[in-house]
Formats: sequence, C-alpha cells, structure tokens
Amino acid sequence: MRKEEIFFDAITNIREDLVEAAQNYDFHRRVRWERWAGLAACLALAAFLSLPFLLPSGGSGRDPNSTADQTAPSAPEAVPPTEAPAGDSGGEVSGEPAPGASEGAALLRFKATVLEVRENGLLVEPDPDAGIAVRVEVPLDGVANLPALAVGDRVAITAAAVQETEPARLTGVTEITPAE
Amino acid sequence: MEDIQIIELYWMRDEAAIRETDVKYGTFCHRVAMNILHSFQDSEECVSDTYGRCWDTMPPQRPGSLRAYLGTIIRNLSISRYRSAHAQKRFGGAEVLLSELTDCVPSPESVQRTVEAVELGELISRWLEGLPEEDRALFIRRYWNGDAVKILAGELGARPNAVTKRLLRLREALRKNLEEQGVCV
Repeated sequence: MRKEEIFFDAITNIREDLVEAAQNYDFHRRVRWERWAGLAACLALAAFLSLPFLLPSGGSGRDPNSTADQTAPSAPEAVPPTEAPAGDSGGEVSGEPAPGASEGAALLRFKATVLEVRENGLLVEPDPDAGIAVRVEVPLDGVANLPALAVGDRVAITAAAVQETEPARLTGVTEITPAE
Repeated sequence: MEDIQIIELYWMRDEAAIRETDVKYGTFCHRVAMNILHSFQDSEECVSDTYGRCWDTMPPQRPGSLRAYLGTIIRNLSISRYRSAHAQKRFGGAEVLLSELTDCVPSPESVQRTVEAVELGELISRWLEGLPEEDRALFIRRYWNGDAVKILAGELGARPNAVTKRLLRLREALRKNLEEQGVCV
C-alpha cells in the first residue's frame, strides 16, 4: 500500500466529533461578516473624507478666514460665504442619490425547479426568463412557512440578491412558495 | 427526525430506520462516495451497502454522531471498491486526493517509529484540534468528505487558487508536525 493511501485510511479514522463539527461549519457566515465589515469600513472612510464638505459653514468659513489673516483688505472675503449656500445645495444633491439608491434595491423574484433538497438549503434551476445563473443555492435560514419540497418541485422565490459564486447563491431569502 | 430517534429505530429492528437514514443523510452519503469513486452506479451500491452495514452493526453500536458513523462506513466501502476495481488505473476521484496527500508524508530522515492508519488517525485528529476552526473544517471537508476545491472556494467566497494554496500550507504543516514527532508511515 502506498504511503498516501495509509494517510487516506488514517483520515477515515479522524475523530467523529471533529468530523461532525466540520460538517456543520458554515463558511458563509464568516464571509458574510467580513463582507459587511469591509463595507462598513469603506462607508466610515468615505464619511470621514467627506466631512469637510458636509460642514458648509465650518468648511467654507475656515478658508476665507485663513486667507483673511494673510491679507488685511478682505472685502472680497465676503464672497466665499455667499458661495457656501452653493456648497450647501451641492451637499443636498450629493445626499439625494443615497435614498434613491436604496429605493432602487428591489427584491428579486423568480420561479425555479428544485434540483436538490439539502439540510440547510435548496439547489434550484431558475427559469430561463429569470436571467440569473443556471444553478443557484438557496439558504433556508430565515424563511418562514416553508412548504414541504421535493426534487422536481416548482417554486417561486423572493430574495434580496444573488452572490456571484459557483454555484451562485441567494442572500436575504424571505419567501419560498409552491409555483404552478 | 433526530439522530437519536433514527438510532433507536435501528435498535428496535424497525426498517423505517433505513428510510429515515436515507431521507436525512442520503445526499451526504452519495456525495462522499461520488467524491471517491466518480461513478454514480458504484456510489449508489456503496450507499446501499452502507445502510446494510448500519443495520448489521446497530445494535450493538450506538454512534455519537450518525453522520460521522455513516461517513466512516461509506469511506471505507468506497475506498475498498476503488482499490479493487481501479487498482491499476488513474481516476479523478480518490487519485487526486491521494496525490495531494503525498505532501503529508514525512521525510524518511525523521523516522523514529512507524505508525498504522488508526494511530495516524489519532495523530491527525490531535493536529487538527490545534488548528483554527475554519482551517480544520476546510481540511476535513477536502480530505474526509472529498469535496472539490471549486465547491469549497465557492463556500469560502475565495478563488480556487487561494484555497489550493491554503490546503498546500495545511498539508505541509501536517507533515512538519508529524516529522517533529518522529513519525513515519
């Protein structure tokens, strides 16, 4: 017997508590946490960098004052404060897309055929008109009133988004109902 | 149905035990066998044999984890089938796993004692205990379940290349650990 075959047999003898824990380990949980942490860090950085622009009176007031210190006849310095409202209006404009964007994040609804029924989820084949991946994993945590499903069943699924993994994976699944 | 209830059915000699085992762990068993054999028909037969072995061994056995118990049986049956049927051929399933496991074999210079599979299993278990939870799960899912790197990469949200490198580091760490203990296979 080759040495690697002895290893293969030895791995079969790994203690069952370790095996069981590995089967239950959810790699996605950590990925999800890291993704949100990354997003939160980016938002925090963006907020920090845009702070001077979001404080119109402070931001526009400081520059003129600093120039005013350098030049005594500072009549034109009255102009920058009048520019401040322009800055304000710019702030409103830049503030508008955010709510607009969140309104645009509509839920994803499509019909699919169940390919596999797993312990914590489904593997489904979306209808071609859904315009998403050929096979999609559907986690079931958080889905209320889940109907009894079997391979071949038709279902209508409501979710927040699709992750571009292989196979693709839904996030924020809120509803699964029998279709047709 | 909970594992304990299924095991109770085996002990009561109720054939529903096999049906319930198939409902709960059928997919898991198929996947483990397929990862080794890469043949649907062979895997199907191994799964049936596994249920038969469960029926024969419970009682007296009362496993703590039914999934691990089934997995051990189906791995042993699949490996035996693989060896007897494909002894001289190279196949994608077990052969790929075996080629990767070559990295774990300690170098001959460090030989102090030779161990058998059972003792080596215990040494690997102890090494696994010292790993971060995710590395431990990754190693077991790859080499115990035989899950493809691509699938694991999908679950981790990483690229397959990154997972391959991570697995290589784990195999090298295992080899180093065994060499430090003066172990050879």
